[in-house]
Amino acid sequence: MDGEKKTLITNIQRMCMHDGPGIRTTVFFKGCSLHCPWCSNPENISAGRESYTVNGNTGMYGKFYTEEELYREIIKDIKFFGQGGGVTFSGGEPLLQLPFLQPLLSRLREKDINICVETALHVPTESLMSVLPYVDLFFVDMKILHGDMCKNVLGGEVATYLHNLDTLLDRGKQPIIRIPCNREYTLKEENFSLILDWLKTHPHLSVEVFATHSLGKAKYESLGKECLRWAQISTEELEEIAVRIGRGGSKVFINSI
Amino acid sequence: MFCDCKTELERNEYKRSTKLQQEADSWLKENQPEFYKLQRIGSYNAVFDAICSFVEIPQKEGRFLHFVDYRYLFDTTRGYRFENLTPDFGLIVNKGLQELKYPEKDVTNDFCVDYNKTIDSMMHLCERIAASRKAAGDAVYEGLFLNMKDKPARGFEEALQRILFIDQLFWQMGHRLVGLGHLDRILWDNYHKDMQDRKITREEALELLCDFMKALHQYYWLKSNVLMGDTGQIIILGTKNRDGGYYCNELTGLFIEALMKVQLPDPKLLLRVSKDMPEGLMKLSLKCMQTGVGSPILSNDDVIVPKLIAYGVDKEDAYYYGTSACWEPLIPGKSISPNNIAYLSYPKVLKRVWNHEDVLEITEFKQWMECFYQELKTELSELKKKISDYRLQYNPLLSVFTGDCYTRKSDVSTGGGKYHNFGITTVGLSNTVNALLNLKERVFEKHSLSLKEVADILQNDFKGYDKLLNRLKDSKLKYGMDEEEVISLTNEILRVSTDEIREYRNYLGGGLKLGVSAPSYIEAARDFPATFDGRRAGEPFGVHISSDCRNGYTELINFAAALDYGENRFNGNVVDFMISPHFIEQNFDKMTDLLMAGIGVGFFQLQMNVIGSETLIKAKKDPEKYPNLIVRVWGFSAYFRELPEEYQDILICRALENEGKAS
Repeated sequence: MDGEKKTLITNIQRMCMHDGPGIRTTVFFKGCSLHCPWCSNPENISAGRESYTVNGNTGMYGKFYTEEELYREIIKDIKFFGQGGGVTFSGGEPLLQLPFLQPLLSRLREKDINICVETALHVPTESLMSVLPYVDLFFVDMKILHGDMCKNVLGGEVATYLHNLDTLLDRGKQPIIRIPCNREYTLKEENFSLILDWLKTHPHLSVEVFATHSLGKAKYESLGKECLRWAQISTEELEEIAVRIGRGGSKVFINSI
Repeated sequence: MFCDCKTELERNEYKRSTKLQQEADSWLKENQPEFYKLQRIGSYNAVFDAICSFVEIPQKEGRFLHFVDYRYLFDTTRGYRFENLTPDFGLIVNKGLQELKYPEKDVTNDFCVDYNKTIDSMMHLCERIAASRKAAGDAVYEGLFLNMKDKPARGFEEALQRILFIDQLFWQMGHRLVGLGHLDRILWDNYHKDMQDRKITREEALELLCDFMKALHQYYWLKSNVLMGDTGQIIILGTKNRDGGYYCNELTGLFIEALMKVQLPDPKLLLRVSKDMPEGLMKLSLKCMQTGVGSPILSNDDVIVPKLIAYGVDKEDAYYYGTSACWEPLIPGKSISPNNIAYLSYPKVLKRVWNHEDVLEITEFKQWMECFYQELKTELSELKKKISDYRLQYNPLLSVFTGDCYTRKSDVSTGGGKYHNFGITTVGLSNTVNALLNLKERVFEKHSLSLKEVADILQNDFKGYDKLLNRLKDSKLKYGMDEEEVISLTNEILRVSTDEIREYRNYLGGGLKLGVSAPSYIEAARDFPATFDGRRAGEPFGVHISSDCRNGYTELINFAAALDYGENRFNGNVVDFMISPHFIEQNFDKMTDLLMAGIGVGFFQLQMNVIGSETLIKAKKDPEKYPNLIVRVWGFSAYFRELPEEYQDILICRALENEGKAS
């Protein structure tokens, strides 16, 4: 570590089209506060480096970056960002490491680079508060609002989550809500009705729905882990879900990944 | 005519088997013995005049008349063939043939005599065609061909027909890869006047352009050069203005719309782009590319024009540049610049180093590179020797449509044109850079392999070293990445190449240019041994400026923009994307942003293969079901079904890589 503060990143993906406005570079932080059974990026859950095996070749998930290295990587595409584009911090849970990167955020702001964060908001409120001034747009996952289920399945606290969401709203941020849809958990009536209720009280927020999938299978295998299979959700079902949410007044987009 | 009964596919086979020339010869021997003899011993003008007198004038099938009588194709085996050039079609639009001639008092040398005779022969053919149209009761086209003799074109349709007429003469005379030039500019006055006079509507003009393209496509099988589709019929659209801003007109968009409508792989469009161009024009071009038709290719004026000026091209000419069949910049109607007369194989240079007696004694990468550069110079000197006897044939027809020949009273073969720089392409630069980076890391830095071990592994074509092969392919530094080490190594290789050809002068006093567009990536690689970039023997080399890196298009554009195209390194440098039509559809606006931003970042040229792997795999299996599937190869579009299998495979492989499905 050379005594220097470093950030653990699994991937920096350039020219992303779906993680916010314009052309973007998405930084995937390693380490998450939850362990969603449907996670499609299992290599981002653990907060340490992990070895993997693919076709007999071994390697390590996770690479440490200094702040300067990360900055240089992000600004490589600055000319492509234009007016709207920029950087999206994703993960894992970016709000675990991002609060330690305020000078980086500040430099990016100075360059007028748009900053998005994809978060599940299961983090201490202080962490959220520390990055708030720098972030243009939050994508907030809304997964399980049922207290016991949230604790047992994800390992999260609904109260913290809702408090953080309120904090965002109180500060005038307009997050885009993302709902991963699966019959086994999120769409279960006792949970989904809570989601509908919450959205009904916030009809001005945009909502994206998408089906959980098994695209992370190869990554699970590379880590020697089992990838759960999910009952397939058809586009028609997603459309029905969108209609149900839409009845509460929200504008809903179907994200077909 | 013979071989008329054949289907299009049969004709393609027919042409490739070169039976055409044999059949024509035996037909001529029997039916036209005089001409048969003339072809072998007659002067250029005697043969040209005979051709204009003998070619059979067919009936008009579509709107336009455009024909090549392949019994009377000019015999080009007498010397080097003219190819990759663009005549000045503006001359025939704005003047009658008679007006192009030297007045009697100015006929002061043999060239002037031949020049005028050539025009007389053309006028004679005009008269023959006019008579044929008259016999068919077609007074309009009768008048149109008679008018061509001594007056400018009288309207848009007539201008298009004139271009088709002159163009067919070039094909008839054995020229290959005949470019068409800046047709939006050349045709503007006639189009604009017809629109003002309400003689045509925009829709009618679009129909005319569609018919024009269909006419040009008619002899696709005959016009194709090495591969089917390689016809070089390239139409240049849009230009950055010398005084600032960007020039395009209604025809610029109409040409693009017409290509979208006819969905033919040929002719091809090249759009000259600049940061000052209207975004709407870029959107229209992207829509056209999205249809999979393979063009337009984008050529970045903001980068290219300054390079041409720095090389010594007059400012006015530089702003009027076009390209040879694919990408190589030239000045239409002024350059007599065969731009693709040979190729430099960088992997061959690597092979030379490996063949050094004391190669295994090398202990430092720096030493290795010194040896590499020494061999690069040797390879280039041999190449220069190889092209030193390149002489252009006497060619009054081309001289008529090459502006400066008239004033200089000199044929294109003796320096009548304005620019005479020859051009070469290169191949395997990406494989070479990657192999060098791998050597540096593994042999000279980490010492995980010795040179002897590498030599053995290459000689054994990676047998038993599959894991190493995959690791080499997946190195952390690769060609196409915007990493300083990769860029500086690539630029250094390019600059050393330049050093060796800087002083070269051909017999007309022109220089030698090179570019990194690499049309020989299969041909040059076929019998070539394994290379240390993780390429097995016989596998194709890298395609143009492309990359299998996962970071995508922005990184590749950054890389391409960081390459040094200065001095003589501007002979075509195209970034080649594989992209799925679905991806463009889903991200249309962002793709437009990418291209517009890419112009500012500074790519030299850019072309796209808009196709998904699934379609290609199906089309290979079942070609009958995909008769019109168009792909982009080298610098042109072609029907997928007509490509040799190895070209089909490389496209499938690249599409899979692009979609992240490659194994």
